[in-house]
Parts: sequence; structure tokens; C-alpha cells
Amino acid sequence: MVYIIAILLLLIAIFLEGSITSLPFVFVILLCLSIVTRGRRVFPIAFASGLLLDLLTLHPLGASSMFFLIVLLLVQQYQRKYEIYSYPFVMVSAFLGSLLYLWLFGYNAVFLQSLLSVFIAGIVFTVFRYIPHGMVKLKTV
Amino acid sequence: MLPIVGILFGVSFLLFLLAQTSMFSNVTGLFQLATLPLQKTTYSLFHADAPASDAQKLQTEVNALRAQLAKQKELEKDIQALRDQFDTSNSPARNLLPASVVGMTTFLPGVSPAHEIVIDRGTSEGVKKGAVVVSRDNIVGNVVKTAAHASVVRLITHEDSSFTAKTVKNSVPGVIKGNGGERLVLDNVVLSDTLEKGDSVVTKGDVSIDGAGFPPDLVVGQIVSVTKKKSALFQTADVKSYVNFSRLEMVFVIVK
Repeated sequence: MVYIIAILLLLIAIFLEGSITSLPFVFVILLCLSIVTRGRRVFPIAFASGLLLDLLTLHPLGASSMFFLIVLLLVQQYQRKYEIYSYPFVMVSAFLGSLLYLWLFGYNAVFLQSLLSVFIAGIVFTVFRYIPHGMVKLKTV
Repeated sequence: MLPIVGILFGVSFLLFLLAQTSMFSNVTGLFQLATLPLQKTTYSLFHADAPASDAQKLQTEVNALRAQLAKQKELEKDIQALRDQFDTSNSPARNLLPASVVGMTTFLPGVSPAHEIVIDRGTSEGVKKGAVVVSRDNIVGNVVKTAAHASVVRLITHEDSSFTAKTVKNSVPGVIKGNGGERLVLDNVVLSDTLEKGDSVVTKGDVSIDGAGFPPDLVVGQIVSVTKKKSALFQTADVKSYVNFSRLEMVFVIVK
């Protein structure tokens, strides 16, 4: 269920990022999905989302996909040692990931947009937490 | 997990390398044809013009008339030069390719100033990197990225944008630079020249031998303030474009 909702949100986010805003909605949604589900299915979704996003924003094809895959892999590797299913982790990773993404792709107002991404990540994470995702019950923080 | 990620990363990297060549242009072009209508609809939804008040309508009309006046003054100068020299100079004909704006990614739509736009014309329609984009004889920017059916246009307000320009009244030369906001700066004007508030600014023309660059006599905007310090090397002027970049929906690409 969470994957269906995430894909719908991603499609909307891709068109928003390609048309009217440079806020990294796609990255934030993928990050929250990865943290909530901790599954491997997020990677093909990230790959496809990155390709579609590059087509709309005219970034080099594959660039966004590579970025998303690397960051999500790092996030999931991090969970082996630390608890990532928490708001502080979501916000810090959203901020740092957005900062890097916006800087790499040459956007303006990088710091401000990253701060706003933290707020968006908090909302998306809250939404995803309460959607059934058929995984092992996770302790909430 | 690692094998899956490795495979997907490898495919992404391969696509990235192949995209640097023109091998994928046809395939990406097909995808763009499918997504452009949706992209344009999304853009239109968030950039729909609110019913303009009488004051706004008058301001739009005034801006259009000012741009026409600046253009007319330049034409009068050209006519006078031709009369004086009996020269039948052949300025290259400009082919204008209409293009719709399908994207304008800003920090906060409608609040933050735009610096780049995406149009629905690309290499398959004859658009090349460096092509100049205009709106009713007003310069909008130039193409910085191209794909099969879409292009990214850097607006003249972008902080990396600069080109030579001159004032209409006294033909004072200078360099127009974007400042990353909504205004432009006419810089590198010597102190001995006279800049007047309210004067219009047009492009001076710096077209290279292969046709790249900004053509002459495209309207840039109007001088709103002049900064002249005797201790400085140059004087500067703030220039406001007649174009409302945040409301752009249709532009024209100058193609050869």
C-alpha cells in the first residue's frame, strides 16, 4: 500500500519538479520510503524516477538515478549500526541529501531549499509511517 | 541488496555516458513528446493569469509601447545611417520559431525570481545551443541545453548572463549583467558618458562569424536608477526588463 501511494506521490512530484519548482520532492519521497520500508523495492523505483526526472528537467540522463541510488544505499547501510526510523535521522539526511543534490545540479538558494526539504520530509515521513506496508512491525520513536 | 543496486547503478552510468553522445536523442525525444503535454499542463495550472486589474492592463500596455518606442528609435537611426551613406546593408533575416514555456523551476513558484525556463522546442525543430530567445522584440535569454524536443533557456536575469548593450538616446555602450534577482545591471559604462533614468537599453550586437551571440537592437529594458561615483572606474545603472518573466507562456527562438 505504501508503495502505491509513494509511486503516485512520486509521479506528481516529478512533474512538479520538472515544471514549476526546484524543491527536491522526489528525493525526499524516496528517502522517506526507503527509511520506512527498508526494502529493496525502493531501488528500482528510485532508478525509474531519476530517469523520468532527468527527461523533464533536461539533466544528463541517468545523473539523478545515480545520485538517488547512492544516497539510498548509504542510508540503508547506515541502518545496520544505527536506528534510522526516527525524525532526527530523517531530517538530517533530508537536509544533507537535498543540499548535495541541489548543489550538484546547479540550483539556486541551496541552503533555503534544503531547510524547506526538512519540513517536507517530516510530513512525508509522518504520512508513510501510518500507511500499512506489510513489513515487520517497527518500533516507533 | 548490493547486486541490485550495482546493476541499477551500472545501467544509470551507462545511460549517462551514452546520453553524452546523440545516440539516445531519438528515444528521449519520444519520451519527451509524451511528457511535454503533461508538463505544459502542470506549468499552465500554476501560471494561470489572474484577471488583470485596469492598472495592470495599463502597465502592460505602457511596457509594450515603451518597447515599441525604443525599437522605433533604433530603426530611425538605421534609416538615417542608410540615407547618409546610401548603403543597402543586408541585415540577416531572422526566422522566429514559436515555443511554449513548459517549465520554470524556481524555489517558490510565483515568489522567487525565475532564472531558467524550459521550452517545447529542441534540436529536431532546429534549435541550437546559444540561440537567442525573444518575446515581442524583447530579449528573454539564450538556449543553454538542448534535447530532441525541449530546450533550457537561461534568462538574462541569471547571474551568469552577460552581453553588450547600449542606450537608445545616446548609444552609450555597456555590459548587461544579470544579478540573480529580477533586475539587470548595466555595467562597465565610462564615467564620461551620460546615463539617463528612463532611457531604454537595447542589445549592441555581438554576433560571431558563425552566427552565435546576441543580435543587435533587441530591447533589454529601461534604466530605473543610475549609480555614479567619482571614485569608481565605471558607472552602473539598474535596468528593468519590460518582460514579466514569471508570466511567460510563449516565446520565440531566433533560428537561422
